[in-house]
This record gives sequence, C-alpha cells and structure tokens, in this order.
Amino acid sequence: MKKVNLKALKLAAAGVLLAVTGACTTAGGVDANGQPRLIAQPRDTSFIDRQTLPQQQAAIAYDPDGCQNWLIDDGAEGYASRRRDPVSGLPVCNSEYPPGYVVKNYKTNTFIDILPE
Amino acid sequence: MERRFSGALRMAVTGLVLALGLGVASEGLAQAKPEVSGRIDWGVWVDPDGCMHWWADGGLEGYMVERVNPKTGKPVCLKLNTCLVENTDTLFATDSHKLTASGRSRLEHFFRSSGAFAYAIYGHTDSRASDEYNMALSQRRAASVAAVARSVGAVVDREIGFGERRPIATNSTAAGMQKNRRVEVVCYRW
Repeated sequence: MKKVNLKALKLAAAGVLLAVTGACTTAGGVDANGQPRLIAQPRDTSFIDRQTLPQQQAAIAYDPDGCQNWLIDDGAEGYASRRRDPVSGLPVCNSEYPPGYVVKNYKTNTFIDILPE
Repeated sequence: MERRFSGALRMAVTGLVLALGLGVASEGLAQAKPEVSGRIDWGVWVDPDGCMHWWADGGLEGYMVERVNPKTGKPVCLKLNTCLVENTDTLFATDSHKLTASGRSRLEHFFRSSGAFAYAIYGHTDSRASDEYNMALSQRRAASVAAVARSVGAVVDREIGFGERRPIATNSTAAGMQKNRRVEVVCYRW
C-alpha cells in the first residue's frame, strides 16, 4: 500500500468513518434490554467490510523483549496478542529478527493505510 | 398534600440515612465498585498455533487478549501444535536417557524434515519413582532429544523436563502410564 500523507485526507476519512459507523454516541448508559451499552463486538462495523477476523492468519511482531506477538491490521482496527507455546504456555522469543520487526502479512483487507510520518 | 409531602420527606430522609449507612459500612468492608461504562461481546480468533484469543471491534478501535485457563494461566488451544509426541519406551531404555539406535535415527529424520525455525522439547514420565527422580530423568531425556536436533542443525529454544507433573492420562493403569511416558516436541513455525 502506498503511503498517504495528506492531512485533509486523514480528516475526511475520519469524518466519513465517524458518520458511517455511528461512533458519535456518548459513552455509558444502557441499551433497550437494560444491558450496559455495547462498545465492541466480534465483527467489523465499518462500511467497507462487515467480516469477522480470518482465522489462523496473522503477522508476527517482535516486542522490545524479542518475544513474538500475533498482529492483525483489520482496516481501521489493529489487534495484537501474545504468542504462547501451546504445551508449556511459555512465550516464543528469539533474536531471529531485531525487536520491533514485523514479518509476514499483517493486513486482512485493502482498507486505506495511513502510516505514521 | 401536607401528608404526602411529609411522606416524601420521610422517604428521602430514610434514603439518605440508608445511603450514609451503606457508605460507612462498605468503607470498612471493601472498595466501592466502579460504575459500569459499557459491555463487550467478545468473539474468538484462533491463531496459527491453534490457540484462542478474545477479540472485539469497537467501531474505530480493536481489542484482543489471549484466552487463558483461569486455573493454570496456560493458553487455551484447540489443536495443540505438537509436531511430535514420541513414547519414550521406544526411544530410551527404562530409566535411561541413552537413545536407542532406532530412536535416534527416527528423531534425526524428524528434525531434518519438519522445517520449523525452532523447537521446544518437553520430557515427561509416569508417576512411578519419586517426583524428584522423575524431574531429573525427564530433563536428561529432553536434553538427549535436543542434542539430536542440534546435531542435524535444528534450533532448540527450550528443553524442559516436567517429570510426572503433567500427565495426559491416568497413572492408575498400565496403558495410562505408558501414554504419560513421552517426549513432546512443539514446532515454532513462521
């Protein structure tokens, strides 16, 4: 994905997202069933795709300690969670790559990527 | 009108007294509970190793945490990414960490062909003999398997003996004990 570097585009994108996702509601309160208001659910609520996360697909991101984390860029949302050895529960750490490096594809869709400057 | 007012006043006073009383009482017992600010409907995402994570889309934000067993703190995984579970009866002689010739060649073939970037090797025993003895034996056996892995160029990240502490079957039958006598290899793949 080409790096996009226009402030106006950022603002426009943010504005469209806010309007479409209906995220401009105030926090707190209860829903129609008297339950606390839903603030997150297991599907994308953006207008581009309304998918769940593709299973067993993620990039590997090294944290500052050299340990691996699963990393997913799902468009507007980013997700990260620690990789652990399924048998012992220990983290998976090594110096195959420097801390901070990301390997394999981290994107789940073609949603526009606004990278840091 | 007057009576209704006084009734309302009484209720208000009662409420105030109750609130004060509760406030004083709860102060001594526990911290006041914070206000509920929202609710998350968590979904499950399974990672390439088969381990589960809770995730939820918050509109513009995303959230994700590892799913762990509340009792053990270990990750909750569907299919365990154990590339190899070998019964130690065929790899080693009883009470020994010396590999048999066939065991060694089988392990060499495995580590040459499985292609992971690193391996974790875990040794286990049944519950006969002392816990201390079994911890030491399983550690020596894990080290023997690790040495074979390194001899064919594989990277071993960890080699741990768990002794009899992590059984996968009952130790009250011969068949169960045989299942528990094992070496597990976890493959770390990209």
